[in-house]
Amino acid sequence: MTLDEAFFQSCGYHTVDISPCADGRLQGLLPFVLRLAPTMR
Amino acid sequence: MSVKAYAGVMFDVEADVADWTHRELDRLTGGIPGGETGNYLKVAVYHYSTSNPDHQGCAAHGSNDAKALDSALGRLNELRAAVENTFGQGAAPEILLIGMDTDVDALRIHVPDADGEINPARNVCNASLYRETLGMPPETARRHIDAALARAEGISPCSPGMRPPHPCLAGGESVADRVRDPAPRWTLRGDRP
Repeated sequence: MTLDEAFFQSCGYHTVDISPCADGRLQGLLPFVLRLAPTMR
Repeated sequence: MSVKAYAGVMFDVEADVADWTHRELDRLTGGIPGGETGNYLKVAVYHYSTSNPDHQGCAAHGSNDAKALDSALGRLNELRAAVENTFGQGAAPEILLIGMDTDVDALRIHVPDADGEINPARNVCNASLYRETLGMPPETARRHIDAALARAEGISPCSPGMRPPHPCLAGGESVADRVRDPAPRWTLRGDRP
């Protein structure tokens, strides 16, 4: 399952703002763990 | 969707209030398609290490998992309070707290209650769900995940909008397997017999 803008909108969210820890071990959080990519506003 | 990392998840509450305000202005002036009924979701992700919790946890909090969790949750609550104090009760964005085990990239999802409040003890772990549902048919596995969420929610279920992301976060489950067993499952062209 892919987490994309359409999915978050279907959940009732127009904006999702994520603040992870800056530790390098969280670098893969978005693409590999949550499987989503940030988009430009 | 936007992402900005901060040491120890100590994000700037003032900057986030400004961001929330801009997005709300966009929404109210019709600048966000389908934004009439939507909400703003703020997610904070702290991390910990199950194999070596005293040394490989969050360095910004001295590898103290409880402190890392409390600090991230504190910032989320400060953001909600700041928005509500400025714009009124009920204006606050929804919040979600996630812990990541950097040993296996497993996620611990702290489920908010019906009022949007997060209790650190109310959580589900996608690695546990993955282990428990291995070999189950998809429908049975989905019911198992729903039941686990219901147990974590207790008598105060989270908002309907918050519920769907959790099974999806469990979509990262096979990542844990790949981290545990990093042996490549493909063959380089030159290695082929």
